[in-house]
Amino acid sequence: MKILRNALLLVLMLVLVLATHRAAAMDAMSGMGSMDSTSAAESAPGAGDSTSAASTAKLTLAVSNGDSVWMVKATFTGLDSVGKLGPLPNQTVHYYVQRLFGIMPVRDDDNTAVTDDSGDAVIQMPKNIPGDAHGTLILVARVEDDDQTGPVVARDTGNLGTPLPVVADPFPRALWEPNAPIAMILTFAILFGGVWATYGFVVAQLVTIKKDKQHAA
Amino acid sequence: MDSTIKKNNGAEQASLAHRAADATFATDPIPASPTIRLAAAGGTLPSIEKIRDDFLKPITPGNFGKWSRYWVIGLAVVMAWGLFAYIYQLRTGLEATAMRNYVSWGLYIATFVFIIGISHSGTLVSAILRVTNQEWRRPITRSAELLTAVALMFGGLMPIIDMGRPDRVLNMVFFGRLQSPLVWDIVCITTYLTGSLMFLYLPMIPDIALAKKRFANTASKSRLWIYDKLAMGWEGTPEQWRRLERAMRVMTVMIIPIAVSVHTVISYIFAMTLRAGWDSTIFGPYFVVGALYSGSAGVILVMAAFRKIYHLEEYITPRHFDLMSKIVLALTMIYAYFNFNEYWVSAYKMESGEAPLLRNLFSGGYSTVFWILQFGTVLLPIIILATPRGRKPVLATITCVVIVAGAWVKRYIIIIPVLLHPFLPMQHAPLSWTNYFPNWVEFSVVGGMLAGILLVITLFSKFFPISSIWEVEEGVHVAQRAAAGLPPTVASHNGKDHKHTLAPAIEEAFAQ
Repeated sequence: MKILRNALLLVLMLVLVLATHRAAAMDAMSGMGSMDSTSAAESAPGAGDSTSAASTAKLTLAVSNGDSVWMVKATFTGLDSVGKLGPLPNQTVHYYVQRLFGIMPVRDDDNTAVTDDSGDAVIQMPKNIPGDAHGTLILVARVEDDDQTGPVVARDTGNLGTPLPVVADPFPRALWEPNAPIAMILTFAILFGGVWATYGFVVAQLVTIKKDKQHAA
Repeated sequence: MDSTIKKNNGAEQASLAHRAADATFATDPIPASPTIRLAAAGGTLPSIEKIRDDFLKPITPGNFGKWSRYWVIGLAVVMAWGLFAYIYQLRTGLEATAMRNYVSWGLYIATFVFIIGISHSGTLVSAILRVTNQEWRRPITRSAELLTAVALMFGGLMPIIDMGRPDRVLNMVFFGRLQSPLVWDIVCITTYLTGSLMFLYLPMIPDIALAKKRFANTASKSRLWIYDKLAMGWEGTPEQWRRLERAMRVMTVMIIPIAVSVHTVISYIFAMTLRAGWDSTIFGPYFVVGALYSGSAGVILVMAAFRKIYHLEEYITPRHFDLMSKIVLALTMIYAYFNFNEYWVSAYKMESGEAPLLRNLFSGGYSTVFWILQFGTVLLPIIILATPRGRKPVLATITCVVIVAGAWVKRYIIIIPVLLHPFLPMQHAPLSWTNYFPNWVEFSVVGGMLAGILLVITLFSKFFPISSIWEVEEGVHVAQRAAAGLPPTVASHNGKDHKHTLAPAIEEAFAQ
């Protein structure tokens, strides 16, 4: 009975520890969620300004509202062939939006534009590209492997896409969530708690075997 | 039952029991098990000494021959080479192996699944045959339990060896998600290893005490110290026997579902994914049967090796091979059924995701190996073991070598071709990454690990009896009683009141 009581206590303690861990993890998750939304709100269209991998080259992005499209302007500056800092003309800029597993061209036909004498390259981007629940898109502009500057990338986040409504899953994939369902924790605790309690019982028998020798002596 | 026994044998039991108190074993002051004490009292078992001599002879101090030394040194060299290869892999990273983006689970994980399968031998032969009270199990249970424990000790290391950063395995312990099959795997294997070690150790206690007494004047101090600690102060008192038998009964029942859960969970590592070839609902039982099929064949190999090396022909008889072969035969047929079901259902549908993989197995690059496996290691063993001649020691052993080797290659075939057929091709992967064959590092590490398994088994057999002596003694007695038309057993007890199930006179004898 003593062993059984201790085993039950052990299982209860395990459940308590796991439940505490689950609550702490959920607190941490809710904190992360608020941080994300703040960050997204600050990123209005046109606010992006990213420097390139090459220290001298710089690619900036600015977005303005056209009639039915976004006008995305990339400005490419850096050292020219004589070493003077200024706009870099005749450079092809590729425009993409970030997706989960890669980047997608902003247009089906041609997603490139060439910089003019001012270093500006403008492209018309459709407004119907699906974004997240707030319509947020990450815009990516790239100058591919220029002889002098190397590859240069600029990113900008803003509400440039169409919001994609979040549909509540009627059967949520509980097993894929960060925390295990309580039923699963309980099942595990009972099954393996039972097995290890049995091991404890066997060890207790061994201890008694040794004690029996001492008594006999 | 009790009344029947009393009715038939009351006078005889009382006579035997009174004489049991006088039974002594001149060289071994460790009392034999209750059954043997009773039998010895009747003077019907003069072979107890012979049994003990035969099984203690291999572990007699100083009995470490020239060939044994060569064998141990050879295994140690192979192990050292494997260790060198693993250190090279650690320093270089997994780039040192042939594994790349496509095949990230190569020979290591195939070997892991194979070895865990072999570890099912202990459960099958020892636990299941104990539960069903199969008398013929007695000389071979320890070999099976030993194979299980040692295979698990080494097999459990394979996933860690497969990691480029093995130190990160601790992340599974500290930050593991309970929903992950990998966490289930760690929990199950740890539990199974612990249970297997206990299951191996429990019936060893009386034998270790026997060895301690027998070699008290000849063994080294360190060896006697180990025997002393492991014997747990065993003196063979009725209370100690009662405790031991109770612990063994509990473990015998407990270890069976644990073993089944282990291989089921290992199959989940594959089956819980959506990959073609692994996305199957029968993977759990398929893996369990596959493990029992290879594990039981592994037991025959260990039986054959110990029988030959330690001259145990008198105890491990052709009948043992015949009966074990029948078990292997039955399991092979069940395994063949699962094999057929697994591939036939997929092949009939030929879903677009599965088709490239199945064509590769049936008629592509892996077809030769695949069909050799199906016919050579499944169908052919069924034909051979179905005949009485095929179940004789030599042919059964050769057949089981084929089965065990085939089981290993089958794990390779389950893992590698699937990884080479992803739903989407890897981006920017060189063409050479779409093929896989293990390189010298992987073969060396796996070779070193197999040498380690053989080395531990060899050293064990030089320090501890490789059969359960007291159980063999009991078995001999039971057989003699059966031949005399007497009830078979007197060894069990009946719960809390500590009453023996036979005539109370026996209890009186123990009390004296």
